[in-house]
Amino acid sequence: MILTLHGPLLPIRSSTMSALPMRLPISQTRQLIRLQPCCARSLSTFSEHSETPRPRVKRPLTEKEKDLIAAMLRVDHAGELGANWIYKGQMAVLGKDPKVGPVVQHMWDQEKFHLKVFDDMIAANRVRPTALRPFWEVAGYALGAGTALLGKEAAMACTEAVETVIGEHYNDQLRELLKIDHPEVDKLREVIKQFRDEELEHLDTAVDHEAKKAPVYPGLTAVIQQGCKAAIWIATRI
Amino acid sequence: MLAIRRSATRALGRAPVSIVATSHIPHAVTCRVHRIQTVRHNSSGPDATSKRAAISYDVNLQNEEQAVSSQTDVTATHILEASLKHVPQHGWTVQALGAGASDLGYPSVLHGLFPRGGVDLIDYFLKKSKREMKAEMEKLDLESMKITAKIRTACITRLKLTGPYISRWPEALALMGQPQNVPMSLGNLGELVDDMWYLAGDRSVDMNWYSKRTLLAGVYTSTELYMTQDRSPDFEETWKFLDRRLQDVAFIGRTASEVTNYLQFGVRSAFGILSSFGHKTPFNR
Repeated sequence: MILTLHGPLLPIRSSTMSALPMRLPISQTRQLIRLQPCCARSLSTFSEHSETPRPRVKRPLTEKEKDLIAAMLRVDHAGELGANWIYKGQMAVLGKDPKVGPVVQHMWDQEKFHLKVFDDMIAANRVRPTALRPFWEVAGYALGAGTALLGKEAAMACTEAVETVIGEHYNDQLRELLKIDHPEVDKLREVIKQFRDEELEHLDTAVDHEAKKAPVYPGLTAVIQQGCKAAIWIATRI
Repeated sequence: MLAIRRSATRALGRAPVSIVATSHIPHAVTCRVHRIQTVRHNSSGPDATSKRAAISYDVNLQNEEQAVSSQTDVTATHILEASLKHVPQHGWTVQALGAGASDLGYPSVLHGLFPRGGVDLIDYFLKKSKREMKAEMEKLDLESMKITAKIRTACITRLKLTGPYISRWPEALALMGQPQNVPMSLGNLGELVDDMWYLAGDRSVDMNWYSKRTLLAGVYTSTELYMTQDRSPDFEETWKFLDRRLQDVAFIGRTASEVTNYLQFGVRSAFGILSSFGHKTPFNR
């Protein structure tokens, strides 16, 4: 398809969704807008005021969006709970190790903070918490202690696998939340972004501490990742 | 290139997908690692926590104005409201809805707005009573009251709202018990006990959330059932019944630890039986 332009094409800045080339004719502007379905703005303003930031049109969240966010908070809460108990299990076995003990302790402290934040959010937003809490606690402890008993590399491999799944999961949530334009949801996105970055730091830490030298590394990683994905699926619903 | 991807990532919150190439691992188990090169790379230092950026963790979606209803919803709500005063005469039926529509000047055939008939009227009544109970409770000084007192007041406030319709309430309960209506009735009951506990100050996020609501749901429904056959003036006997039920459950101290005790008892009994058959257990090494 040949695009005929009536003026120079200015570069599109990816940081602001409202910026569009100024001198495109209206038909081509319409084409570009169709690529971004979440922009619901009148066409005339693009050609005139594409540089000025638009005032936020605040609309209340729909029931579906509220349910979606509630499910996200529920599964994140369950996830941080599981992570806490995994580190607890690991510390029970490896706590006295001079090299790995402080590392696991530090990661556990960060997870404790994450859990506290989600506890407060669940209470403030009146979200139903996960019904399988005792199960996540027992399963997390068993996983942490079990892999730690296989050795410190296995414990690190477990951390790596879990943090990989959590990182992907937080990214999926961020993608979903980007579709909702609301100031409170923006705050939630910032929180999830910060926690995702910290989880990925844990992943890096685990790899730095010889996670890949764990016994049966591919099998262990695959099993743990599948288990985590199943847990995420269940915790979203129950 | 990496710099552009990093800044794009931070702006849009998406992680670039990179396939980790590992020669000895079969393709099926290669994990997709979403890695973000963060600026601060001191992953194992103890002061990494203090470098956490100052953001607001106070996300609250509760103080929200409701979404704007359509004109159909507004009309439907007016008809439901007008139909409530016909319930003592017609029961929870389409006749009550038709009479309500006529009161407002609409043709009585407008009961067709409600495909479930009387059940929609019950649903409206339950939601409306829940809102009214909440409004009444918020006028009180909840900080100074004890938890059981708050629950008692909430239950009494809510039950008094059923008072004018109590002669027809057994029919409503029968309708609510039908299988196709059970999601509606349980959903409304769940929201009611959740609101009552929230007003009483419960902010638990663990199994206590479930146990408290389950117990209160039991207390509330049994009291409501008692109320349907109570003929005492101003339902005095019902409030006494409610007090007895609240004493039975005694919310102070009733926690999920009881479930743990029960499980522990079971485990110890099982091990006791095993050891009497001669097996070694953690309790008799």
